[in-house]
Amino acid sequence: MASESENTFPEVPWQRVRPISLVFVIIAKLRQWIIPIVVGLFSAQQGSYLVIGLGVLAFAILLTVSLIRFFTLQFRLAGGELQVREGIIFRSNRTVPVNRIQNIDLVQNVLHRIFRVAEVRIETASGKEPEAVLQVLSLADVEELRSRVFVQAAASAVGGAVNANLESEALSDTIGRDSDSSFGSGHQLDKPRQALLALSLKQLALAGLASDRGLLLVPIALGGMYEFGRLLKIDGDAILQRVPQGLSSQYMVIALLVGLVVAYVLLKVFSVAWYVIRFYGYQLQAMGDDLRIECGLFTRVSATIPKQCIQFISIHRSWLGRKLALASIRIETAGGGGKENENASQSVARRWFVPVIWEHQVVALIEQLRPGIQWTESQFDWRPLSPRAGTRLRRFAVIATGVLTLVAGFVWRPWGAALGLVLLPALLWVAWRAAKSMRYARVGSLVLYRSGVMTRKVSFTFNDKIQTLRLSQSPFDRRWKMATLTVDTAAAGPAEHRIEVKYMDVEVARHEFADLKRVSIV
Amino acid sequence: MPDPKSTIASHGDYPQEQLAAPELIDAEVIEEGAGRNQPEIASEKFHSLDPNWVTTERIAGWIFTSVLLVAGLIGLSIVMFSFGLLHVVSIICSIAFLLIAAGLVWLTHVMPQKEFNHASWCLTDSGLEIRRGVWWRSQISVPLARVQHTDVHQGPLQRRYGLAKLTVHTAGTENSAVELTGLNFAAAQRLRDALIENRGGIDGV
Repeated sequence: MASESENTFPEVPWQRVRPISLVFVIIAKLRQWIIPIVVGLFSAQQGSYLVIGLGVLAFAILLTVSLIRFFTLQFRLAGGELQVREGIIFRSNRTVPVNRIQNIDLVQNVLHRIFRVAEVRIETASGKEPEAVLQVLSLADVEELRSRVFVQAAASAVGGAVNANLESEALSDTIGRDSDSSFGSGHQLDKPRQALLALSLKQLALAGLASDRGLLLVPIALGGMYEFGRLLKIDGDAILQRVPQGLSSQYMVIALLVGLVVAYVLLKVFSVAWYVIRFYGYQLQAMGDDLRIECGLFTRVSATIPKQCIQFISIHRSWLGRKLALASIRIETAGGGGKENENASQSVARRWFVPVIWEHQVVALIEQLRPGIQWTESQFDWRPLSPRAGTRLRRFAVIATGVLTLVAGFVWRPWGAALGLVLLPALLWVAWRAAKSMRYARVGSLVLYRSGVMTRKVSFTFNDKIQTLRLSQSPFDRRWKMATLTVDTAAAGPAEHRIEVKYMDVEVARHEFADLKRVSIV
Repeated sequence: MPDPKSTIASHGDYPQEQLAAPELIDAEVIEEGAGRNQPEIASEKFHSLDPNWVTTERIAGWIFTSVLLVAGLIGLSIVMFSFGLLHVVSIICSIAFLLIAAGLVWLTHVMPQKEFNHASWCLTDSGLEIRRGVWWRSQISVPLARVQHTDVHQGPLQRRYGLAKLTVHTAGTENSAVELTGLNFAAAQRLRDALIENRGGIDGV
């Protein structure tokens, strides 16, 4: 039954997760079951013990499964591979080549922090789920694992390149020996840490003010109010009846305005709170070829991202952010999958890679993310889209206005048609801004795209990270002699922007397609 | 049925020539029936699909269309029976049925040939390029180094006609699975072999 790799390195001992993990396994299960438990308690209150009995049974079975997993989970690093095995009846052996590991993330909630342990997620480029979740390791163990994994990965990457080039056998020999011996002997490599960015409370507060993250809380607040009201049996109608009747319209307007102001202030307070709770103590460090992010007030997240795993970088500047000279940076790394099952650490490492940064710091930071980037954004050769793009967008605005006006005029006869008077200048403005902001550029090994009406987004990827290229033409495109050029990269999504250059002149697009095809061989 | 422009051009310098071409994808530079005659895979020429693909598409289409047409006829006869043959409703329904039927027949019979004319593929040092689309046209290029794995798939109809579908998987997001349908089975296998050899230790991410 034992797999081959299991027997290959008998001298390397298997490691286990910390005994305290037991607590976290049980808590995690309880959290998953919080709703059934509450429902069960309610029904028990009403004398139905059947539901609660069944619930307890199901819970016990699932908990047992988790406990078996916990008691049997073992892992080790051997021969350039991370091996994880678990299970009694259904045994699983998982082997992850170390140089395929994209990142190692840590999540620590308050309880983890009390016990000085962390949940560890190990990710590769494949699939939506982390390749392995080690719940929980002590911080020292994590540090050791991290340093070993990334030392081995770096060594094998360099070794591979050297072997391919056949430049120096001696060098590859040393590296080869290094990567073999780096585990087991407690090989420690202290990479120099270089602080790239730290965020102050003031910056986080400003970022909160410039954003509308507080909107996230609205559904939660509404749901909470509803549940609370139901629980305490508050009669909404009774409250409404206490509102004085027959107020003059002036008072109503004032009350409405006050209400709106209060709601807006609350929104901003929540936004600031969200930023502070999420990113308190944010630090971005460079450690050799890796980037390390740490942040969080209650739940602390720490993610390590090898620089060469960065697929896509996106700089966002919101309208308010621009007024405050703030920007934010998102990155995409392969692996970790889509939006739906993004966990806290993935979210921080990609979507909120740099949640907020002063505009003047952007250049220095971007240049740190990958060697060889010269970030002179304003001097890039930003190529405008087809000269006909503006006309096409404006025509679309006019047609859209026409259709909407007709519909509105028909529904609210006849004054609905007045909507067109408002809509036309607004849509024309949007069309004008959109056409003005859309630009494409190629600088060195970068492929850049810029767009956005309110939030300006500048994104780029690298020639060697291009997965596929696509040139497409709709019948309308053909009429306007335009084409759309799409550059697909791995695990796109968190940046909320992609290189899909619409309204390119068809000749330019074809030329770019051929040229990108040529350079993306690497 | 419109016959395609089936001129075979020699085009060693295809990309440059294509840049100057007036259309995104033009049918003239397709090598006819390439899948049949043991093509050189990496010849920098654009190969057309296997002509049998048109037949399989038509068969599959006709199965679907005939079911729809029979259902439509039954519906129409019910309408005619209840309203009378020359009632306005019956006439309108008959006209609508005829129009839809004509559209369906066109889609089933003519469209595959048009799609065939506009579909081609080419394997060069820079990767696999696939062109297709009659109205919405696209050309997609997968660099060789980004190919993660490939599938060759055959349905029952395709097996009968010796065809296969090649799916090229990349680590990408939107175009992570690039499909090339209507290949000759042998060509699909050779193309697959050509795609996955010489990739060495590249992990494509």
